[in-house]
Amino acid sequence: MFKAKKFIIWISYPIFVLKYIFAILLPVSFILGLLYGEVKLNFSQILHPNGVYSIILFDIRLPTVISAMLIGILISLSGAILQHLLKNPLVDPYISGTASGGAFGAVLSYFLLAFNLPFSWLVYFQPLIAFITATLATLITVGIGRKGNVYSIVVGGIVVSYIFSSLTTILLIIFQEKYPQIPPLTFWLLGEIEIVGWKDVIILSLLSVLFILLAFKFSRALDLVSISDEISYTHKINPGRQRIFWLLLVSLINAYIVSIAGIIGFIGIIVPHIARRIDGSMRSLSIYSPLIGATIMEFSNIVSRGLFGTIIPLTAITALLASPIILSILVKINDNQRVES
Amino acid sequence: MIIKGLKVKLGKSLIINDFSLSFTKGINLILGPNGSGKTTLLRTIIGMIKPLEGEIKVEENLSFAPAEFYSPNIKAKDVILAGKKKGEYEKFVKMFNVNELLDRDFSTLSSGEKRMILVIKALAEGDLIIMDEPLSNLDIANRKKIIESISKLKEEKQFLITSHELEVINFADNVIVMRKGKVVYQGDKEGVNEELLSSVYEVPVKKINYDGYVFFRTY
Repeated sequence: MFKAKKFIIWISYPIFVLKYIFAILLPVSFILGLLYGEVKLNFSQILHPNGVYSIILFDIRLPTVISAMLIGILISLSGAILQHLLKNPLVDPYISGTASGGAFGAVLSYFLLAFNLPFSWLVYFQPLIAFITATLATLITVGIGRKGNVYSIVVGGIVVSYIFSSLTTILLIIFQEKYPQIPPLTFWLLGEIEIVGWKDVIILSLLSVLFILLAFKFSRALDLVSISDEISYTHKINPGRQRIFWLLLVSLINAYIVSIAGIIGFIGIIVPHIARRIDGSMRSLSIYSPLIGATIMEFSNIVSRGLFGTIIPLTAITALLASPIILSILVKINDNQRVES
Repeated sequence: MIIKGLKVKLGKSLIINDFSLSFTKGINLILGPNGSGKTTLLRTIIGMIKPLEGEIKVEENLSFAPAEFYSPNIKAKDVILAGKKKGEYEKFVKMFNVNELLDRDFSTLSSGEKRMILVIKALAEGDLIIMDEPLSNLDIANRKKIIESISKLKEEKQFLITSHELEVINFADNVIVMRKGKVVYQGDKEGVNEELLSSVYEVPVKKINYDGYVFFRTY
């Protein structure tokens, strides 16, 4: 009884514990990620790889582990920024329809194969088409959610996501037989990070560095837009233009992520929520969201890639992780609304 | 700041119709019933809404204390520092004695405390300070604080305030009364009489003078 009480006090302890926990967990997750996968490696194989283990480590395992962290950084920072701009603690690139729209565009681009386009050219068209559909889906969701309460955008996002996911499903059913090299439905709708080669890692790294630097540079402006559009104008900040700029950037980044890893949900909501307990300003979020996002994404990917014997789609894991946290956000919103009215 | 012939449309309705004004030093108070266009006027001045016609010449450094705002989970000191401006924040934090609030999460403050933080931000950042309903949601002690500091500062700063509290007239240097988007009175507080207010608010209003201080009541 006494031990339980001590434990509860420890768990609700000051926020600085959070900061250091994730700083330690991140390298731990990195090492675990190198060890665990479809082929279980051990320490000597990591430090002195030879033969087939060298190929596994350098061409598949390392790119996958690093990509998972970078994708975690990008999705969680996207969530933090969208939540600031749209003054809503529930949005992320998944709920805003961006991911589903991107998936639809990515799958739609395979349609070009039907016009005798060689498969290898797809890599240039796919991100472009995914970006267009991702932006379209985001604009529709944001448009639905604008004039309403905090839930309107969630409802709008659910509807938009369902539409695009269904269209994606239909397209895949049509194409699956003729083009077996297209990734299957579970990849697109539920997410899977397995990266072969370093090209994607380089692009993700550049996007991550750019995104973090921009978020940090514009952090004070983003804070102000979050508080009041009116005050923003007196600072010569145009909130509408800010929203368009960041929405486009978030669409671009997440369209790219969806085309290489499918739809990964919930990281964008829960990571900023945790990071906000340290400090909710954008300056802090631009550091701690990436840190926490990379860690959680990496651990989720370790579980996804065969920790329990079989491959589990990512969004299934992140959804379970996120559910208690999302419930606590909803409870908090309801409490606040009851008080205000 | 000078406004000439302003016409502002929101959606299908003409909210502000042929509005002309020049503001004096000190405290400019805009009164008017709900829907008379006060908030729209303020938003047009800061550039949030583009007017249909007319010109607004603003030379001064503007700042704004809004009536409605979002409360993110940001520390109060980061709320004050938010944006691109540099202001005399320390001076006003000291003046209002809010030092203990600075490290607290803004969203956990009381609505009065939140308003104070945003008023401090506006006072520190601008020379012409626009305040939309600065006294609403404040208790009488906080209202006194705000009215007193505005009065104290009116030598150095210019104010443009909207209010539903008619008593603020007692502190105003220039009173502007709006009705349906037009100016129906502009001038001294002495000229604001019962006939004017009764016709503007469409309700009988009585003006009571007590000890050099005016009160208003409906009857």
